Amino acid sequence: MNLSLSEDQVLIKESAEKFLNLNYSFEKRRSFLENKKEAYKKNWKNFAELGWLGLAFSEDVGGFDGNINNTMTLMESLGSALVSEPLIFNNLVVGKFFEKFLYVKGNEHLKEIISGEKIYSLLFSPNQNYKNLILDTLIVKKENNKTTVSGKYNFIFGLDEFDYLITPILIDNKIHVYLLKKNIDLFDTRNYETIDNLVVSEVEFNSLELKENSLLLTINKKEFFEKLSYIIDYATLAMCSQALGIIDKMYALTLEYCKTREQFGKKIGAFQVIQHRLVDMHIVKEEMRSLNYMGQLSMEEEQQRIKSISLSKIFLGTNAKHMSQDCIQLHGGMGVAKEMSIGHYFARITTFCSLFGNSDYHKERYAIND
Amino acid sequence: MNLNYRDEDNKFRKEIKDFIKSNLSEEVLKKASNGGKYTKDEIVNWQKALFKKGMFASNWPKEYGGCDWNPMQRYIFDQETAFANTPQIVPFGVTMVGPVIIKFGTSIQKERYLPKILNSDHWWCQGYSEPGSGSDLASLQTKAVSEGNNYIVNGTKTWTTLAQHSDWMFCLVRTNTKCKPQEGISFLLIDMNSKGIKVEPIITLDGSHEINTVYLEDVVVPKDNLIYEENKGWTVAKYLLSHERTSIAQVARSKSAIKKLKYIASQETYSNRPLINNVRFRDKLTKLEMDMHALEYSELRILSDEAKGAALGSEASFLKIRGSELQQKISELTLEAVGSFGIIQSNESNIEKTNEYFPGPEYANNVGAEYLNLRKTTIYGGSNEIQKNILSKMVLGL
Ligand SMILES: Cc1cc2nc3c(=O)[nH]c(=O)nc-3n(C[C@H](O)[C@H](O)[C@H](O)COP(=O)(O)OP(=O)(O)OC[C@H]3O[C@@H](n4cnc5c(N)ncnc54)[C@H](O)[C@@H]3O)c2cc1C
Repeated sequence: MNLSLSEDQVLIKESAEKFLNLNYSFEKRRSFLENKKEAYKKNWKNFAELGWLGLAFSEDVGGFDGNINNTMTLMESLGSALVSEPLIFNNLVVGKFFEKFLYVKGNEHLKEIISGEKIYSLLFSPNQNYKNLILDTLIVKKENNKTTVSGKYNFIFGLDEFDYLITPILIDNKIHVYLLKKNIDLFDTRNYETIDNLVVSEVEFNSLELKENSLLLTINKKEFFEKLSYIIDYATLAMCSQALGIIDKMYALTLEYCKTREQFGKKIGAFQVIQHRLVDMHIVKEEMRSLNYMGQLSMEEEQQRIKSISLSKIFLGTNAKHMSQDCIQLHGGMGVAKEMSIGHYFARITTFCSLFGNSDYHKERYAIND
Repeated sequence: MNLNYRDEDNKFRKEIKDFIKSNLSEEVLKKASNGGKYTKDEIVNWQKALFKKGMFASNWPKEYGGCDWNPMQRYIFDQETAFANTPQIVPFGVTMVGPVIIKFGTSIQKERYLPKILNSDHWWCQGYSEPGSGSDLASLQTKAVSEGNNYIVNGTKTWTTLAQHSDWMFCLVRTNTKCKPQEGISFLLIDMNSKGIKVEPIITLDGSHEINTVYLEDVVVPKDNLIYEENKGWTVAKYLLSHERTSIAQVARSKSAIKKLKYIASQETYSNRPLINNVRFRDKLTKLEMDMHALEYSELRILSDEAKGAALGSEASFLKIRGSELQQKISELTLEAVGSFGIIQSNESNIEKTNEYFPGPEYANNVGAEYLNLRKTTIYGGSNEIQKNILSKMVLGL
């Protein structure tokens, strides 16, 4: 048994941190947020050059063997730097989609994803209780040999800069997956900013014609959802890993603050109630890491996977969320000032709690699968 | 206090309801019930109307122009205004500095300040905290040096709520450095239009502008503006703090927030059933209601003792702790109830106005912002850790 970081992981962690400290500091990030489009292009190119876009995929599509531990290590670093580019959606989810559903050696789509040449996104909605996960409310019409689709969807991620939209649609009780092209298949997207400066989109189809030549595959419902469930769990774990990076960072910032802030002629970290709270935080962040490892080791066995990913997500929505609140509290007024980084970490934890199913959703899922 | 409503209580309730109806449009109230914030003008107009009707300054004696309501009347007023989502009375003038001036002010000071507080011509802010002095307020460094008939004030106040709107600030300053910290503090009233004052916004997590840093550079403050005696500011501040902490419990507003939460949970669905019927969710909601009633009846017990003449002591700390926690917990569960719409930035309270319009239901528009914003409740007004220190010392004798 080996639950320590591998040499690869150490390397990935160090190089990611080095790169992010230099190129994705809190100050730099602020300027990225002011010009998101430009920042996305620049950063995505960098991510591709660093090999990050291939980390989760095997060598024969241009990746780096797809080791899950390595991928999750990178996710953690992205979390600590509050990276806003939707790697989970424009890289992991879509890449895993092609891997699971359309795997052929040298898959062209995967190559494009890994090289960063083209941006893919999957039309699904990882909201808090997976209502309309794959747009079950779309209306499909067949008339004069034409199939059209209409309807509106919320909480789609990864549409900031997409070229292709992988679109699963239920037709005649089978899932048809289309590859829609930006500016060719016309539909409306409206982008919104979240409380932690991510972009979330609303997509609306108005009798969009689904053309035969954009059909990627047809698959029965059961198989589709089994495979999708793996992909979603993978993405959920990636989000929990980012959250782990955030929680680690919040802990470090708070500890540092308590060691420097003085009141009543002492460091506030000298008060025993504060010490106990910091100790609790220390334990929470370690437990969170342990559950994260459990998730990484359980991905390939379905029942284990479902249960352990749910546990990680429940932990995020309960103990880790509570800890994030405590971190703000111990910063006093500084905790609520937007110019400090701690609040930005707090906001992102808040967002993550509500995506990919909240803790109540996962408690139920765990119970059903136990 | 007896909680069986008598005819006169019901009559009073109806008066308040009618008054709200005739002063605030349904549209304005609806906006507020969805988390919209009132403008300065809306708040001032509301306060002015209350005063005209004789419903303002419920905590002031009649001879000073207050309405001197009994606890039942205050309770009813708070409930009705909270349920209707009226503007909240800004506490710094009427709730905080008003009673201080009544208790410690000279007759000239009373004449000068009280009428303008009553008719809301003056907006006040509280200048206590400094960058280096929050929990340890007594360590404050803003200096007031005596020069003839004036003090020259230099220093920095921070986290100052609504200083951007303020005409006056009540301020703690250091007038003596050669003694125990508490003994060298004075309570000054400072005209915010004085030369040498600069107010800079602090933007909070929700993107709103509520608090500020106030820089004071060689600000000339006439000695007539000193309340009570020089170096006796701590006594005044302590008297005031007990007022701040009771109003901070916000029971009625929390009750109203729970009502809204229940409405949301009846509209939202989970597995095709109303969310409110989901046992996991419902249990959390019931727990909140329990907390709310435990707080409500604790406050009523305290008010009732107070009406019988008992001095309000450290109980205020208890109300502050539970009241602030409850506000946070309600906002947390409301965030859960509105689903992922809660994480989309409000187009209402965020001053950056990044989102042109809000894609979700109206009631979800400010929910995420509110959750972020309310982290403040356990920090301000003396943090909850400090309240616990007070209780363990004053009540438990530890
Ligand atoms: C939104 C908002 C509005 C405010 N409005 C005003 C205003 O209008 N006027 C004004 O004067 N002030 C205002 N304040 C300031 C507020 O009163 C202070 O933030 C508060 O007193 C805490 O001080 P601090 O921020 O310096 O935190 P610190 O005192 O530095 O405390 C940091 C942390 O350490 C804890 N701590 C400190 N000492 C101890 C101890 N002895 N034992 C255990 N724990 C301890 C605190 O509880 C806190 O969690 C406001 C604050 C906020 C957030």
